[in-house]
Amino acid sequence: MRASEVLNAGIGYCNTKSTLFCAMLRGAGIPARQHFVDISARILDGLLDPGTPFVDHSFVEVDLDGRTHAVDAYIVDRSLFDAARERLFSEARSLGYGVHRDGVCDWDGKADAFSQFVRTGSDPAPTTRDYGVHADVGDFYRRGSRWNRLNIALRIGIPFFIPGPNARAQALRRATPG
Amino acid sequence: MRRRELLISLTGMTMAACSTPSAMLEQFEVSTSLMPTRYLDFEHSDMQAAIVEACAGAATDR
Repeated sequence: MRASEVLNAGIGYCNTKSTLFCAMLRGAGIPARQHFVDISARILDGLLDPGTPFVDHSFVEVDLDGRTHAVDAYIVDRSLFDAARERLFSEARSLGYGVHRDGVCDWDGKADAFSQFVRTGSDPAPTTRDYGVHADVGDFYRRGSRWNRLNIALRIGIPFFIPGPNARAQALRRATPG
Repeated sequence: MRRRELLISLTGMTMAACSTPSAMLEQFEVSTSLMPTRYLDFEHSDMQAAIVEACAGAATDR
């Protein structure tokens, strides 16, 4: 999806929101790039089972004040983030419901900020594969390894199974006070 | 002596050839990091409106 399509859809996941965030930064005159990796599929525990041990993910590299910051803290909204973290702590797990228990969901422009993985510690390994920087998500899927290319069946099927995870995320928000 | 001068000259040329592309690469990297692409279509009117709104909001927040 193009950034303008994500904007108008009003909903998205890591890669589409990465596209939107990167485009917004560039539009505001701040240099930014999309960096693609694989992360543990356990990030989706409680929401959906993709049937693979890992899922592709992207974060945005932002050039600001003479250094490059890596950010994916724009993916999960505050209410879902807080609810998910509370559930993860109660279940003594580090990953699930779309967040990493030690992640953050805001960015102050002073340091790296991740919501879906952290670069310290070993549980779980931050990334399983690093695809590096690509011009945009279209470039990544054209050049990426075969498994993460969206084939026609997936393109048609995704809209039908997305409502389930969305409903589970919404239920999680409602179940957690505050 | 001429051989020594040649080596010095070649060393200088090699250093220049290595450093110049690096500098150019940095400029290239910064410039491409600000450009629109097919999917990073920030020149779209809806995107422009959203960016203006975000910038106005940021100014108000200060």
